[in-house]
Amino acid sequence: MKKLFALALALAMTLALVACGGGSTSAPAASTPAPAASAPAASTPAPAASAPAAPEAKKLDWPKKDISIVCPFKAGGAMDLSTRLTAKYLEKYLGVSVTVNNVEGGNNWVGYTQVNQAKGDGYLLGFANYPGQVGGYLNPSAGVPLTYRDFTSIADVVHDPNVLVVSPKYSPYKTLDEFMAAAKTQSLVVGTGGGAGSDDDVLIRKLNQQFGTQLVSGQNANDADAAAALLGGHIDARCCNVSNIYKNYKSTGDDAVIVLAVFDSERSDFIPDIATGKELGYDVSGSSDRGLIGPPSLDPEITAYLIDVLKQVEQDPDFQNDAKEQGMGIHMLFGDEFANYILSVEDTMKGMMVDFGWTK
Amino acid sequence: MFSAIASSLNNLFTVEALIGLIIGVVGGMVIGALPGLSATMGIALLIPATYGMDPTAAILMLAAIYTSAVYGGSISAILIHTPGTPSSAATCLDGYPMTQKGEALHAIGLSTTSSVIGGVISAIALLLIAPPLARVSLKFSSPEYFLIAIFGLTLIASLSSGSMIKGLLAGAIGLVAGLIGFSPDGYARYTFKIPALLGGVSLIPAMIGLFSISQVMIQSEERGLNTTTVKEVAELKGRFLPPWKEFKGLIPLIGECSLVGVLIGILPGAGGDIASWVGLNLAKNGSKHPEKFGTGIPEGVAAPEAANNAVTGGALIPLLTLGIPGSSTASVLLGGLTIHGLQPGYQLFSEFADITYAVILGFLAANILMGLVGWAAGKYLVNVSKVPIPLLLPCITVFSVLGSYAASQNINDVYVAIVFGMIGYLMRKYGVPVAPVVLALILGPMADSHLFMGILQANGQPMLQYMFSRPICIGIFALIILALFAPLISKFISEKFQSKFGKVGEAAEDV
Repeated sequence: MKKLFALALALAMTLALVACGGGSTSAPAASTPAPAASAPAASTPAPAASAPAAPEAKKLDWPKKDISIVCPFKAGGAMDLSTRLTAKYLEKYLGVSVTVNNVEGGNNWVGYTQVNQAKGDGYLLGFANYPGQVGGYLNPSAGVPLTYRDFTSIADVVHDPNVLVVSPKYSPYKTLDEFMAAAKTQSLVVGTGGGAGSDDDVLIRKLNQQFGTQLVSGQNANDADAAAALLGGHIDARCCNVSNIYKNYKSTGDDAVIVLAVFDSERSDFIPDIATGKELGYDVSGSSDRGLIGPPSLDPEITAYLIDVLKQVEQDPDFQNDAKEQGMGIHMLFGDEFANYILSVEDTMKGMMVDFGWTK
Repeated sequence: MFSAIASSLNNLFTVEALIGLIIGVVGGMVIGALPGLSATMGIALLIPATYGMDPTAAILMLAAIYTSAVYGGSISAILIHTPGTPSSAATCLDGYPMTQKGEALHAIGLSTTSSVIGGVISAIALLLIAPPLARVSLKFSSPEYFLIAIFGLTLIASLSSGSMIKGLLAGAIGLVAGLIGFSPDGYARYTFKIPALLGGVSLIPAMIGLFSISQVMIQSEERGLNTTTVKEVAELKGRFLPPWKEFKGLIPLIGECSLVGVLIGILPGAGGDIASWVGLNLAKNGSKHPEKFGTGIPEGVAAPEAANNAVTGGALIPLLTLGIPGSSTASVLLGGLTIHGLQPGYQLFSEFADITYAVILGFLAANILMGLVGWAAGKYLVNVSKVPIPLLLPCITVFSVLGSYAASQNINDVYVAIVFGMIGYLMRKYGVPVAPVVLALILGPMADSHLFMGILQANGQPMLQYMFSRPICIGIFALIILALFAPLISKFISEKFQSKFGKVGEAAEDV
């Protein structure tokens, strides 16, 4: 749909310009309709034709109109895909159209602020990333006045565990043990897909705290940079997520990597033959979690209803297939469980404030 | 590489990609033929419109606009002695006299043929050079990228055709704007605790402001001052395709100019305008009758047109492999790549090879299609330059505001566009070039984060010592020193040619 919009816009603009030149008087009419067409950049899928029976938990007169979910990240990234996947299945079960608005800017706080200020009627929800959001407000220089408590934590949908990878071509360390042993006597540079407070960065600091290693968090600008630095042998290792490497972790070509461990309580379905840190004697977990949030004033009945719906979504085989295709681990946490998880993330990060350089 | 090319064909032959290709070619020609719109400005305005498109179709459309606009500019240069883009200024010199002699269609035919050949050669160069260069780019890491960014920044002096001080001033404005937002180690700089500034200055709105809004302001002002009417378009007569006998003699010249164009395209900062002058000079130096230049001879059209279109593919080579724009239009294209999640470098040729090769092959096709469309519709295209400016300006304004909002649905980006529009207006008023602002806005943060990462990688070694232990770094150091002398050389070239060929009609603003 939106692709057609974009093409239509481009076509309209071209035609408008040509029309302007052809006839010198009749031109203005041709050029005016184009702008209106482009405003909704997000897609507006038609409502599902036949909504499956809604959960019986409560007869709630909601939703009565279309819902939009604010994704504070750009279209096409992991956060956007997670939001769109959730929106697709909310639509299926709620029977109204659920659109995704990518509201970027302000290190994601433009979007988060919109969610915070929304009405409690449930027609504007948001998608948040942890520990990213927590890092965003803990950093005192950012001056963000909100915390996770200023949102209703509805459900943690996608759980993407951290992995540590090295290059088979350049790394002298082929196992986690060898790598950690070396890191205790010398500093090793580990690339990340984001700066201080990103999930990759937090995992590296956790390892340093618990095992006295001297890992240097590389703080690459993005995952692509870190991937290229590892392939070129410029960094000792790279910390990223399962979704970044599940496609090529068995490759033997140019992009081959050795996955040292997955840092989660259990193995990942996407890379089942990779042992967890815990199995290897390094009991540390870290992940990027993406979940549905709402404004603080969100009607508790709506929250409960959404949780019921998402519990059904979690069991839906179509949903499971879609998630699997996109390399997204699903491990849902609902309501208070989700909020408690964020609290634990916040606690961990508060213990690293000096490490992050985030003291006032 | 060949398997990647084969599988990319599936990506290219989709309805969407082909529509994008056609819109790019036709739209680019229109943009190029309009004296008020350059390729750079057109692409800056159209990037937001590609937002919802499939990446292949989107990038293909933008690349097609680039080459097609450079060609389209020659049509108004030949027919009404007004270069549609800065790249076609050199074409005026022999193109318009041909029109006066009643050989307008012949001149357009020559321009079309040479543009197509130049474009096709540059596309082939892109296909052959970029993939191996991308492999080499794996040897590049943060210290190298830091130095490359510095290398690009030194070229600001050569981008600024007039006063070097003004160019450096513009670069400094871009560097300061690039500092806003998070530093690489996560400290919020110059945000004044305003959350909207945490993400830094958004590139696309800033470019729309600098290239489009400021241009609208300048043109509205000029409009109020003078009331020049559009020159009457000459009657089109003659045959379109050059006779074989004449064309055979031009082949070596066109080939030579194409290769030179590709080389100039690869150099960061130097774009189609410089290439067309160099091409014209090549033709003149190699000619048996140099005194005939300026009287309307085929060589004077073929040489600059082959050279300026050859720049387009050349400029994409460093853009796709290293993220360094080879011309100011390419720096706008970089914005187009990043909004589609495509990071220049090795990944474009491995993970995203399907998209990249489809774009490169599509770019080749765009250059051929451009010739066909020019052949079929070139002479009607001149109507475009009759668009009344008072009508065009409000349209551009609407698209500017809409485009800066649409990219991220963030109203703050509209404010960014307006603020940069005003900054750009003041800069143009005082003769400060705006292109260096954009280059610095791209390269400043790149240098910033790679310096930081480089220091981490050096792992305790002094940074300079670490750099000098890396051979590629030493090579880039040498290039930087060379680049410091580039403005002297380019000044020499442009001054020599400008005086040699006389001042060209109403040259469009170099943006």
